[in-house]
Amino acid sequence: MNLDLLRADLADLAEDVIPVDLRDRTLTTSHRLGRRRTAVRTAAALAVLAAAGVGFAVLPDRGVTLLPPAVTPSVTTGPTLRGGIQTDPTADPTMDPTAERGADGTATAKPGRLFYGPDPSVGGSSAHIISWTGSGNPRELIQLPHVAAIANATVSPDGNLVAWVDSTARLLVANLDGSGQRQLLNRVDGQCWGPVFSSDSRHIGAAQVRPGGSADYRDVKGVYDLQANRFVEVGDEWRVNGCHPVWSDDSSVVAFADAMTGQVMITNRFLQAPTPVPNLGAGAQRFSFDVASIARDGSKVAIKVRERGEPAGDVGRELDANAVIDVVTGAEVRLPLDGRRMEQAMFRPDGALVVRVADGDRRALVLIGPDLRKVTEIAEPDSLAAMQLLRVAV
Amino acid sequence: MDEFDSFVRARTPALLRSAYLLTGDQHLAEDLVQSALARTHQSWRRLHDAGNAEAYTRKTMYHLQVSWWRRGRVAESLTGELPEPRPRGGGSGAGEHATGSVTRITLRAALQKLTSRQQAVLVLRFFEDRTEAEAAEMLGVSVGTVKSQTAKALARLRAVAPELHPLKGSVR
Repeated sequence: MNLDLLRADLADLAEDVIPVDLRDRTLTTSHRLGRRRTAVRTAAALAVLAAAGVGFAVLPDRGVTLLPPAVTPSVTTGPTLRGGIQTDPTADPTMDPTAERGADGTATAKPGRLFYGPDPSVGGSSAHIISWTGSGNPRELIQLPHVAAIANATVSPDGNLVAWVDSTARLLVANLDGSGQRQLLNRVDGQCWGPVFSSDSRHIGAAQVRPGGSADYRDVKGVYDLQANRFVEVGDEWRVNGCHPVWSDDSSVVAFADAMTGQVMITNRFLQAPTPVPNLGAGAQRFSFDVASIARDGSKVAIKVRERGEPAGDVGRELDANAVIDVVTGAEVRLPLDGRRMEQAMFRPDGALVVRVADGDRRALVLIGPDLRKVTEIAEPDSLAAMQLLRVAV
Repeated sequence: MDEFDSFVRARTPALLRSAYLLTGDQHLAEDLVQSALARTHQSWRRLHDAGNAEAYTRKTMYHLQVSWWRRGRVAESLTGELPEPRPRGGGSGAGEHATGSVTRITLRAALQKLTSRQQAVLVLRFFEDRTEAEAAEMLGVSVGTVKSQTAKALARLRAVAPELHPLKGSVR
């Protein structure tokens, strides 16, 4: 083979590019990253991992999952206050599953138990998951590797567990107080497919990367059963391509970004016959690569919608949302936000929706009921302003 | 930060050339380089003091490209066609110019049919003339991976663009 000719052709082709001055655009991007996120740094650490499909062939049931305490908890205790955030996880009222419930067990008119990850624009080697109940001081919970806390850490729907993929591609799980940490799998995709908890908090959808196949790796999708301690693979016939899955709290619907054409796909828990949400991606005026949350019944998704020509954003998980979309019609759902800009939106397991809105220089949390009427609203502490909302539990 | 401005203006043309081969699109190439430079900017003082700003930028660019494969797909799906190559000066006649244009169009289309990692190894090995070890370090993979991806990339190029003259003949 004449590789010299290939070299010459490549050099010739490269001359087609038109030189431009990128100084101003670079600085703008840098400042945007500084304000918003730097999760893409994680892509360099985990470039071996790629996108594909998954199977959720496990039917979850309801229950409370807690792991036995680890011998060496990763969180040290000591009730101090740092930046308005209390650092004693053992005294965290959000760890009480009844804290936000009324006497009849139904959810009260509070936003719920809110779990935050770190400010993506701030570097560091580690970061705490922060919890807040809507009153009092936010509290530090488990400490995670910083990259994982930004890119893939996920809190279970029952608000008891956190799962993450570390820089060595290990899938780990622990109680939110830091106890009970254990490794579930190695060679796990931490950039694209999950991890994602099932509604019963007993299973974790994930993609395991294995050598072999037609490429240097193949990713095996499936669900890790936390009680049986096994990873249930899904047959190739159910493979779908995409990233950032969310799993409805009635277990019936999975939504994910197709990660190729900007479509948001909807399928059942077996990932059979995924269908796109209308009017998104594949040449439509608007597209999305980021699905932040899905309604309990799977009827709506909170996503980051981008206009054609707009940069597709970071390959890593982005939990920002600027629209709630009806998955059947593709129409944007009107929400009582009083004209304020939606920054994040998380559905709760009870069907309610918590929308994080910009309110001047501050942020507020608007609780919206399943009937799409506003229930209540609270101001968010300044100490949480730059953090990323990961989960709302009730 | 004036040093950063000088760095950007001095190195952008070379970075854009590699990025163009990786993305096959002027705007995506600009986005890729701009994204890599922005990350360099965020760590500029440390990188500049250590003297490895360009290496970091290039490495970031390749990792972004491998990770941002979706962006190229989006552009492809949205535009649906490749833009005309810009005219060149010089050359030794209309026939040769036309042949060169066809080759560039064919090669660019063929590159876009490779995986992102295959594109990266080809550009690193045959445009930037990196060794296998350097390419492996740049991509964060083993030398064996670079070897296998290179072989697969060349085989794929031959399959999708048999008319490309460099690709006629044996693989090795």
